[in-house]
Amino acid sequence: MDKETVKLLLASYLPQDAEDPIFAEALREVAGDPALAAWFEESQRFDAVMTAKFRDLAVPHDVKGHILLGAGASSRWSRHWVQSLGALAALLILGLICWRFLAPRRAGDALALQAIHFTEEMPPLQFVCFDAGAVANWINKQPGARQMKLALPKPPASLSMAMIGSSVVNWNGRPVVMIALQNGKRMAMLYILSDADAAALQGGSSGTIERGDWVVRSSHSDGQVRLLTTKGNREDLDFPAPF
Amino acid sequence: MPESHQKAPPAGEGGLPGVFERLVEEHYQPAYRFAFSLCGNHNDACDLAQQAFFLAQTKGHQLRDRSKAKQWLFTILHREFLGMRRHATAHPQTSMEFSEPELPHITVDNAASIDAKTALAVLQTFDTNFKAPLVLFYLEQLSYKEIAESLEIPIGTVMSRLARGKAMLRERLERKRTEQSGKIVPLHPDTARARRDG
Repeated sequence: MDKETVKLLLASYLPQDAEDPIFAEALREVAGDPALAAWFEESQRFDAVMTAKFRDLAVPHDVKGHILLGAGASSRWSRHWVQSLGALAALLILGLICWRFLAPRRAGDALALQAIHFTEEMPPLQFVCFDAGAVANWINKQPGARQMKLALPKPPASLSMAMIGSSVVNWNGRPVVMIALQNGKRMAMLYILSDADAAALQGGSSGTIERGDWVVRSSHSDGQVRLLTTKGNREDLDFPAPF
Repeated sequence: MPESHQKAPPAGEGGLPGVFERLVEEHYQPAYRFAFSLCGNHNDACDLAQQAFFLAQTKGHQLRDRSKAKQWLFTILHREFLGMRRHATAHPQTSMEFSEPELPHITVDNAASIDAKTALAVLQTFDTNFKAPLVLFYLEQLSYKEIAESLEIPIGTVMSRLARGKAMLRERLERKRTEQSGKIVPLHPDTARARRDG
């Protein structure tokens, strides 16, 4: 290796590069040549001086602030973007949760709304009778109701609402027993349908909803869904159910 | 003060909890020094460092090895500087590598007597091709391999530029020193000797 090549290589040499094989031969040459060794020693001293000189460059205090300020717009934009995405994701998740858990309730609501709509229409009663037992017998003889196998016990004597009649109606091809109840001027309609039919009509959940002037209490027992509907609010449904 | 001796502010003192803020905290000083060495003035250096960090922030996902964050930052900064320079002039600077006559080199003792500001001013007279490797070598003590990665040039080119850059630095420092001391600097030692002898 000639001297110029040694000098070229060792110009890139740093003390931490002592183990780097690319310098090994050049360092061996230096070790065996006093002139090269002197050059190398002087070169290293010069490097140390210049390193110290350049590192004397003071960094003004405002530099960091300037950098952060410049990146701030991007940072804020990024954060805003990330926040927007996060909010969107949260909304999607919330929507999914609502869909998952509230969909049945909404379907139940749909059935309750159907009950309200049907009551507002006030269809004529097919069987009018103030005798609850007779009404129950009539219902059990109706083709649609027979399949439902309604268990209609005699209403207790304390029942404040009197049964005044009944109909077996059709909601989207599904039989629904409608029983009219009355207490003074207040009337209520009780709709009874099987669980299967309620499910087919996308309903069946329990609960009370108020829509406009109407209130509907949905309950579920003995494989049947019952919708008690009247004009008013929740308190107006606070009477013993006939069944 | 060497970078490695500087302590980062404790957590809470400045409240820089984010990844980007940590990157700034750890590297803004070497980045600024590198930028200043390339640009030669505070305002441009500040803007260049800011732009480099801005790009680092937007390209953060490209950094796979966090231990090389500083080199990566230097690469971005250098690219930006070259881009800025291309916009600033229609004609790229020509290297003075071969246009300068051979001048006497400054001795180590004389180099030690020159103040840092003058040394940096001399460095500013260099073409970027030589200035950037020299700054990374002296200021950051980056190895030739790290310089090659940072500046995206071959290892052989780094070695060549460091060798020539150091030689030019010693020449220009000597010229500057003699200018400051009022001495007349001969254009070429042989020419000066011929004049003296003749």
